[in-house]
Amino acid sequence: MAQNQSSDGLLNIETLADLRGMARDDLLDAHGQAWAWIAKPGTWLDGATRVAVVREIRQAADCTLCQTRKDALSPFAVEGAHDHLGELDAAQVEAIHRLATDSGRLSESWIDGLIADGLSDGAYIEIAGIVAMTKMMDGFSWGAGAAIAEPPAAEPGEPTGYRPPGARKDDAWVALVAPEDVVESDGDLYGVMAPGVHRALSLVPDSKRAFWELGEPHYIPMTELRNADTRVRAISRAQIEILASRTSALHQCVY
Amino acid sequence: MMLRESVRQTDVTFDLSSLSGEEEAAGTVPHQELLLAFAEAVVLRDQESAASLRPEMIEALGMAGFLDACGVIAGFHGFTRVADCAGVPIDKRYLEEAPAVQDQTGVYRYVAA
Repeated sequence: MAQNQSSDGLLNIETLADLRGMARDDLLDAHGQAWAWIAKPGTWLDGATRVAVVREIRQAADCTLCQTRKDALSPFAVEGAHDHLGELDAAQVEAIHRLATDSGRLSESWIDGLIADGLSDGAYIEIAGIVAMTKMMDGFSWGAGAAIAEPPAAEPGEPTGYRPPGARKDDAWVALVAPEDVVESDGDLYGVMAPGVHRALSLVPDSKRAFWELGEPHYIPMTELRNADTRVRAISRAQIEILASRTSALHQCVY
Repeated sequence: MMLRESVRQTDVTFDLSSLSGEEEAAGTVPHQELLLAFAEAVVLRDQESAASLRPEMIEALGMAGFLDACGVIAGFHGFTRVADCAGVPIDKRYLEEAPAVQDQTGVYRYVAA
């Protein structure tokens, strides 16, 4: 994976394992747990499909159509076919490529189009979670100057097909589970708070949990979210939020 | 929103318009210019810039600080996509401030990376 190796040789690392002892254990452990989770059968996708999603996410970086759309005033003004690996159907590929390369310009009508093309709302959310997790882990590796990780081999088994009975479409583009609609079979869905971004993946509770188990070690524990002067990291809260704000702005995220 | 809260409640200052990257950062957050530049290099996958900024980041923040910074940038590669994928509305407590923050940060001027 020479493409992502540290070009400056500064850290003298090749993989994330080489960061053990320098990076926080909880962060590195979260990566390992996330890859293991992705390789297992999910809620709507089996393990092989989920690992194929990871490969397609990385393929999207080299997609000519995605690059052309990203450069266009509106992504909907550009027609064409994605440069894809041929492992997934057209709706899955479209979802993955757009989420991976142009997530700041999605729309409700675009999601409705995916559903009309045969992608269920649950499968869409499961894919979105895998895209977000893969981009997070690849982003950390890239930033630190390490090679991106190869996903583990897919595990056999069938998806659960679980849909939260309290899920309903209200003021978001897809059905969500409000805190008051959580039932026992959903499992532990919300902790100390349930802001909108925490509800986004709630249609697939396992995806929601896996995503935030990976996300918190990268940012700060949710218990510290309202502490504007938290010192739980080696950089200050203001420094954390400058990095967060700049990254969000570059992704055109207005949430 | 959390950046605004952080500078409000601590003894630093930071002008949100600095997030646009169009002019020098105005504020007193230690190493703010370096943080903005490194975040941009990672989001835009700018190999050359990232390679030249990593030594400065480690010198300024220490190894643990540098890796925590990498973690935050990476985290928001994921948080932004999750927020955007479902069209969740901005939380009510932020609604009043949202237009001003979006205007100050110039977020609508960017092309997603």
